Amino acid sequence: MKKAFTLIELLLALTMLTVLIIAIMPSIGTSWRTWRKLAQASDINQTKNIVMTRLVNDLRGASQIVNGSTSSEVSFILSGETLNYTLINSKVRRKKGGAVGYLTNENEIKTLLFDYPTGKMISIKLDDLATTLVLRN
Amino acid sequence: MNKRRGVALLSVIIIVSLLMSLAVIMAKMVYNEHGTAVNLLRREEAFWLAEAGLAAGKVKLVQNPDWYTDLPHYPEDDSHWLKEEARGIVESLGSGEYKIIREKDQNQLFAVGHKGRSRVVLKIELFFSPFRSTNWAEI
Repeated sequence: MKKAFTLIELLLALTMLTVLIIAIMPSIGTSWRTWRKLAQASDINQTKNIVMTRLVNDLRGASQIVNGSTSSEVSFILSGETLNYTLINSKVRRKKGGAVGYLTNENEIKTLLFDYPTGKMISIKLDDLATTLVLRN
Repeated sequence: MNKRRGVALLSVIIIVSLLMSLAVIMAKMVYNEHGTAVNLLRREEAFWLAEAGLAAGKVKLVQNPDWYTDLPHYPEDDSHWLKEEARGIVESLGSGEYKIIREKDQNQLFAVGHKGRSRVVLKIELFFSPFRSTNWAEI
């Protein structure tokens, strides 16, 4: 009996432990949630970069921009086929002939805008990424 | 009895120290991850801005092959000079900007994309009659 902890000692230790755990746990939880959000944001950034690269590569090889292309949708001729890029339901849609593919999941990309300074030039704004290119052909 | 006094308190202090270390390590990891993610995004933005600069520069050169913005600088491909000192045409695009540099009588075109603290320098070799560009490189 004499070798055990006293009741006061145990109560004091338990109280201190509880108080400190309560104080620390929220910050650990917040850090964990922030870390996960950042990992998701990195994934989305990578997706944006891939979409931009694909769009730019397609457009560079294009022979002409099709009339009727707007600030939210671009159509162009690539190797004799019509390609179309647009943002539908917050997903980037790539349409080649009759084949439709979505390059992103919903809400990964918020804005996809096009501008046509001259006939062979096109500016693209994909969320934070912005560039201009010239059609090669 | 006397030797065991304070053992519980010591245990609590050790556990709390471990928990606090864990919290600090996690906070540091999140901070580093945030910095890395932001830098990566800014770098990508700067890269695409530099690409836009090359496109704009090529259009200028097609219109006027003699167009230049600065005199030749040596050593070649001096990225510090290109970023900080070279005279060029600066244009805004989106929330960033790019600078196009062509040295007089040199068959190279440079573009510096600039977003936040990130800067990316791209270079292409130029050929005339007919105009074409090749050897795209990041410096």
